[in-house]
Amino acid sequence: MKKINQIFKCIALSLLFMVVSSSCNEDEFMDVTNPNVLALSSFYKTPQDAEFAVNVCYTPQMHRGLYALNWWVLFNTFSDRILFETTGLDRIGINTGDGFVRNTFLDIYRMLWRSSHVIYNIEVNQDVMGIDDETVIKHKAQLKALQGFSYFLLVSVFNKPYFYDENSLPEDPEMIYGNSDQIEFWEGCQSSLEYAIQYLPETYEPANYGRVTKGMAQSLLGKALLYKYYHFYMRFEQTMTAEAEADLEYAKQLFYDVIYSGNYELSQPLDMSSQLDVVNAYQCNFSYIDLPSSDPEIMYDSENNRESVWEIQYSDERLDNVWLGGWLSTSNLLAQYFSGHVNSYKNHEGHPDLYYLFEDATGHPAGFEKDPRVYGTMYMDGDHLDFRDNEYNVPYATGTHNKRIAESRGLNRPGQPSASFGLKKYHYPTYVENIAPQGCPNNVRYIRLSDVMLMYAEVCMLLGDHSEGIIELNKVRARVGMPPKAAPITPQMIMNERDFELAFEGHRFLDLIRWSFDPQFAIDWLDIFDGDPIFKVGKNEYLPIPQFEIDVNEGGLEQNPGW
Amino acid sequence: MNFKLTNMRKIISRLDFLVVFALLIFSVNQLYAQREVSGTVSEASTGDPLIGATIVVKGSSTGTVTDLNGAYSINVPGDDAVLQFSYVSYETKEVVVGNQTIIDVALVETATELEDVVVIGYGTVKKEDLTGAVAVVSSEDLNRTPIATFQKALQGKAPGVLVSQTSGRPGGGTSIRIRGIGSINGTDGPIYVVDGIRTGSLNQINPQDIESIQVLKDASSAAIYGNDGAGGVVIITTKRGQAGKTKVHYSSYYSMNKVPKKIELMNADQYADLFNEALDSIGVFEQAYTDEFRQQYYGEGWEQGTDWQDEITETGLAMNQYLRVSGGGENGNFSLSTNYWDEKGILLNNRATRYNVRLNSDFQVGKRIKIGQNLNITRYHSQSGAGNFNYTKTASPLLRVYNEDNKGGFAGSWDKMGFDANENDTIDANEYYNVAGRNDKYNPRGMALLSDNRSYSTNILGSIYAEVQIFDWLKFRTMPSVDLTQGRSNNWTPSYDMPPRTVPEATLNVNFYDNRSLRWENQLTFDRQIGDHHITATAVYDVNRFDSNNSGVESIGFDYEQLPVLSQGGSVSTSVTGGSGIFRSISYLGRVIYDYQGKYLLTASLRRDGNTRFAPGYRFGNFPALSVGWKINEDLFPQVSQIDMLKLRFGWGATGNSRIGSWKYDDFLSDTRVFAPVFGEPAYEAPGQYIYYSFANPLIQWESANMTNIGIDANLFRNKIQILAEYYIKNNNDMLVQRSISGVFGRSMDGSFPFVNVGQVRNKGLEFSGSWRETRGDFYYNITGTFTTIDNEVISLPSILSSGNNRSENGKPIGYLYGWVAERIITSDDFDDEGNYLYSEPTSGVPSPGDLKFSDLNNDGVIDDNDRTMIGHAMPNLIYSLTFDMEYSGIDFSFQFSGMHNYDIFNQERAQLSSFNFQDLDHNKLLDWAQNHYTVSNPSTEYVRADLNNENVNDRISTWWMEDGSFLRLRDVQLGYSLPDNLLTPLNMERLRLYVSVANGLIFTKYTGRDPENGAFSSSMGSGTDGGGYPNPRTFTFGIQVDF
Repeated sequence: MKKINQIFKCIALSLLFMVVSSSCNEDEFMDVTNPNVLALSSFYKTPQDAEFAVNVCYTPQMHRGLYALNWWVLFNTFSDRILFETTGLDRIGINTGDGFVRNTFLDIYRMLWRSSHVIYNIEVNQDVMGIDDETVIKHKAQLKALQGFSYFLLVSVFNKPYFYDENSLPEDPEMIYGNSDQIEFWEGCQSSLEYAIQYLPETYEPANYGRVTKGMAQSLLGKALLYKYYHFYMRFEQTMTAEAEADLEYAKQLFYDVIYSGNYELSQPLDMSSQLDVVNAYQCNFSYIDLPSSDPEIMYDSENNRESVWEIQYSDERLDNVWLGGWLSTSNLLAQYFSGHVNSYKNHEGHPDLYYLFEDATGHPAGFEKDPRVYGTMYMDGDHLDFRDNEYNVPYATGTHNKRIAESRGLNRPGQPSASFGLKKYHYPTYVENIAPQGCPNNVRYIRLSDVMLMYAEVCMLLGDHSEGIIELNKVRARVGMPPKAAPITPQMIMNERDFELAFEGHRFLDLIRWSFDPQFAIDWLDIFDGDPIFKVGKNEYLPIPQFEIDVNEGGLEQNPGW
Repeated sequence: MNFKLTNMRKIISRLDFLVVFALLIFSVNQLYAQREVSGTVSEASTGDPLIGATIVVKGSSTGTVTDLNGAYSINVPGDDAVLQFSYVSYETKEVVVGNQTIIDVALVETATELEDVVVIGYGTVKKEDLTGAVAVVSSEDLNRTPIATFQKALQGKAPGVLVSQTSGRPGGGTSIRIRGIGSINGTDGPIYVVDGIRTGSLNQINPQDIESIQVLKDASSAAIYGNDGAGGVVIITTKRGQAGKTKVHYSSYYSMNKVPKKIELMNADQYADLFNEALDSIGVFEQAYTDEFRQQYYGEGWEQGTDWQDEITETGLAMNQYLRVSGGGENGNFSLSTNYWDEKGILLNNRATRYNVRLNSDFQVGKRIKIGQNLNITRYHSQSGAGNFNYTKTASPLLRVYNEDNKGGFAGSWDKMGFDANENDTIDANEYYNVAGRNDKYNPRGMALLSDNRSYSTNILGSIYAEVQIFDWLKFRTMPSVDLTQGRSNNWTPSYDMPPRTVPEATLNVNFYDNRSLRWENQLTFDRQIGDHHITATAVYDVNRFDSNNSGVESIGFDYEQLPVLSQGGSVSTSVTGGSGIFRSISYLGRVIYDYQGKYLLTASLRRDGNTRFAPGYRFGNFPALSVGWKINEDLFPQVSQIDMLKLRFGWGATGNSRIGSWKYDDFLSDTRVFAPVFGEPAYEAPGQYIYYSFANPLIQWESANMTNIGIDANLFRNKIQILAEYYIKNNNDMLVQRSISGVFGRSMDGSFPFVNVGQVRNKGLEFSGSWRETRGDFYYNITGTFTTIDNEVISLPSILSSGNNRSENGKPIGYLYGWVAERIITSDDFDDEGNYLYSEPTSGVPSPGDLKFSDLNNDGVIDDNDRTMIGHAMPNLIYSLTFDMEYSGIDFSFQFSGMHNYDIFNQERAQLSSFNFQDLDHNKLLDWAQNHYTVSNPSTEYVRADLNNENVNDRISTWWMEDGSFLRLRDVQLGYSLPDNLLTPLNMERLRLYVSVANGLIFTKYTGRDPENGAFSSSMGSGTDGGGYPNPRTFTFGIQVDF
């Protein structure tokens, strides 16, 4: 009896355990949520959510795939004016599997996807968030401008990848995303930017510098129309059609509106007879800090000055003591890679030929030997890396700091004023911060007024309106005290002026490509690269579609010609 | 009598500090006596007394143990009492008392290995009745050799288990693969179960505490662990006390770790010669390497310069102390052990230490209830600098080691010399001058010594169980357990100058984490013999909740660097990170083990697992398994006495893998800083919040593997020969593969693509193990050989997967090496009279004589990415081992060879040291290459030219740098001596063994790198490239083992 009792107790005890242990409700037990981050399903609930989402669309342009790094690695390096520390890249030595190319592709699509997705969601969730129509339009105008920017970049750099907008967002990862027609991008770009122009403000208060303004959208649309003339009309039709002419007239009007909006002006030297003033009035467009003038009380405004039209902002705040730049960061890598700074080697050097191309400036009021812009563009022996009394105020090119790429390739000329020509734009004066030069806070001026003026001159030339165009071209020259040119405008004048004014700013290679579609520019790539067959016509006009995309889309996406 | 107390006194008299163990005294109730029986217990074959044998009155709690002479006395209730005599590894004997007052018993040693019990998860089974593929490594195997981690104990011990040492770092760098590579996403390693508790804290395990390791290799056995058993299951059982006298074991060893192989790089003279010549050849600026300059800068020893390999390596000393006390009686047993292990690596400032305490005990409470516990507490610490073997190759031998003027005291390649290479004293004394030519790399010794990175973790792994024997045939067991790990890492980088590499501000990075896994397992076991039918049925219900928290602070800028604590930092910035993790799982499991007449065996199981890594609705998976065995000798040739056992086995089962990380099924938003855009004047980071780059797939579910297994086990000639042969096919289906998605989604970043269940991989192979063991008088020896073949193939993937040098695609092995085919070195004959190159040009431009000629595989006239092909297998096809042990009158000797065959390594280290590389600023090179590279006057067919611009990218992955990684390694050789009994007895010792051993003593390989295991098999998509990691040291050990 005692034994049975004991067994009974054991059974009861075991059952109790079983009941207790299995009594926990399975569903309840397994109901977990991520404690670390929000989910999309809980987003777009408040007005702030919309603001945060709009902000996010601005990040791709400042990322490593675009202006924090790759833009410079690719398009500056590919140009005939830049030497890269090792050969390869400066021979356009990329291939379809290149990481730079892919990151650029990704960052442009990030800008397109985010802006389109946010437009869609803000409209759909407007009531939930409780925002009025005016706010929706305010957000949408910025997003449309960024969407237009991505269309422009995609079609001018990658030729004809996949097109979509907020009404045709990609959803299915298994789908093939093949080629779209170029015209979809050009038209999409135009309609997006037109929406933006209609609703964007002309200016913002300082706290919102960097957001898209009406002037930015107008300049970009003008630029896109100018590019469309070459990349679309001239490339495919080889002749000026009525549509092409209408587009150019439209571009001309847009540029004119920007130039005469009253919101922008060229940074003018205080005293044209002072070398310091002439150089610094120009140089402040690439500087992180304001530059001195001959008057101790007056400095030349640097970031977000009145010459700046589209300026990509990089942070003055310090994030982490890590390799900055790229995603998760708010600084660029210009100083790290390209500057003639104290702390490391630079990867870029100017081609000595460019120095010699700058016009002589005999009779310049400030006594320059050459076009003053050469001194704002290139570091030469004798230059100091900072003007202030600090540890960076050391001479440029003290000998072994620099690799002297040109010299090692036998490109130097006898009597050359400097053993090497460093890139001065964006690097003067050296950013003095503890982490310099890894995280460079210097803003990138993607479009500045002198570029708009030269594009205006170019459009005028194409339309035959020489007298109107030459005025703006001469304003750009007059700012640095260079004598005016006489009409008519020739392609060579446009090419030279852009070469000098915008040297090392990432435009040259893309300029040459668009001009190469128009026979009147007579672009001879073999000549441009000193007889070296670096540029393959019919291939190097566009970057390859990343091999990764070709593979993912399993034959549904065509590679660009030649790659 | 109270045997515990008497034994304790002995211990205390021997070892004062064991006083703490007094806590473990079990009080044993004195029972009233009716009649006394006494006698001796001896060993049947030798007649020697058995000390500590247990004698129990059957069916009561009365018991005793034999003394030093094997004698005992016990009170018995009456004539019908039955005495049970038992002793570890001897067969238990029962004697009816009757009218005897003296009962002498001789116990027979458990006859064969067949009686061994194998732990198969939620139960045990006799080895001879095993139907699945389970490899066993016993404590003898584990304890003979000095090993720091249990993973190394598995090396070469079990067929089908590939253990490779991928790094020689103290306590680290072991990769374990069971039956090939099953999953592509890198998380297909085995899971680990320690004393029934699944844990991921492997550093905590002290190998000397391990009683046995069982590896469940096939799905029919591993399916019992369902969810993550696809990569196999490693079951670790730790030592428990045995009934009998209290035993004390002490062991200790001291080791020296030596650098196994030095690479012959250039010294300063040779270096200066090479670069002066190379720079001359392209007409580059002034000589940076004049003798006068070097002498003035470096001082004494300038001709040789600095040998950085010597500067960052040392002989690493290691030591290990282990003490274990164990014992028990009829009502309980205990085992208490402690360990201290400390190892320094061969790289400066590399160290790991571990100390642990383990207590295991079991108590019989009444007749039907047993309660016990396992508790292990481990503290693990590791330490390293920022040193790296790669720095020794990139740094210039011209560079001095120290420079007292620099903050931190180490020389940088820029120095304020006041003179330059050509005209002394012409340079401003405050101006930096590059003293190492163009080399700007880190000072390797400075990197090794300046930073101080430490990590600490404390792990508590504990469980309590209660076992209730409801009926003789039904047992209930419940076991709550906890696995707690708290850790901290403390990474300190002081500010230093090694121009141009300087760190202007000190940084302290401190991270804390706290992981808690609570588990409750309930098990009901039915075990009954009904006639010829024996059935064991098990039902288990198991729940697990895991929570983790982590937080980290990074503080930059310290005014007082002698105070490297967080409160002193932050003069520049302080940032904080933190997060939590949650995981839940529920499992149900049923298993039936059935045998008929002990010769027809069947095991069937079904496990249902659910966990929160998947979306609701996709959380549960079912994992069935079935295996059968037939001891054919008993039916077909029972008369053949030479065959002790011949068993055929067949098994099939399904297992799963859910280790893909959490929350992959949902789109989550970033924190507001991840996407911070910048606006304004001054520019500030504005908040932005949006979907992560990741792309969720709500449909993902378990990755499943099913394996079919046919095996044969044979024991011949009275078990002298044991043979095990097995063939398996393992199909990993529904493999979770990150599907590449188009960039148009604007989110994709490699590595965060959505997981989809699409891939299929097949591994198949043959495993063989054969051993011969024999005892002849005093002489015992054992030879065991194993081999495993692995044949691995991707059956289907949605698209080609690439990662670094590795690639996976249909019809090829997982993660094969992908690169160019290099035919030969180009000579001047490859150009026509006008100097035009006659073959396809690489995209980088026209090559020159001395460059590699790559094959234009697609014949499109250009050498580009599309000319790559499969140029190597990253996984060996064959792994094998040979172990020999012997003992002869106190002397024991053993060695183990193990090898891997037929796999390829991209010797990237050689490629980098035998050519110039991208952004190669005068890195050091192999002396052999430096002196014999291709030049016009020395048209080498073996060594590429010295092209500073590396225009042809000669160092890219190509067949030129591929090498056969096959090797045979003498992993361990050991000689031991145990003192004879006549010396031990006066010392009250049972055993004293001294030994010396050498690990990694010899290697036979054609591979020219430091170590063919470096960089191998680290992950399915990252193996086969040897960039020159941390080589496995050659270790010399002296050790002692003592039993009291």
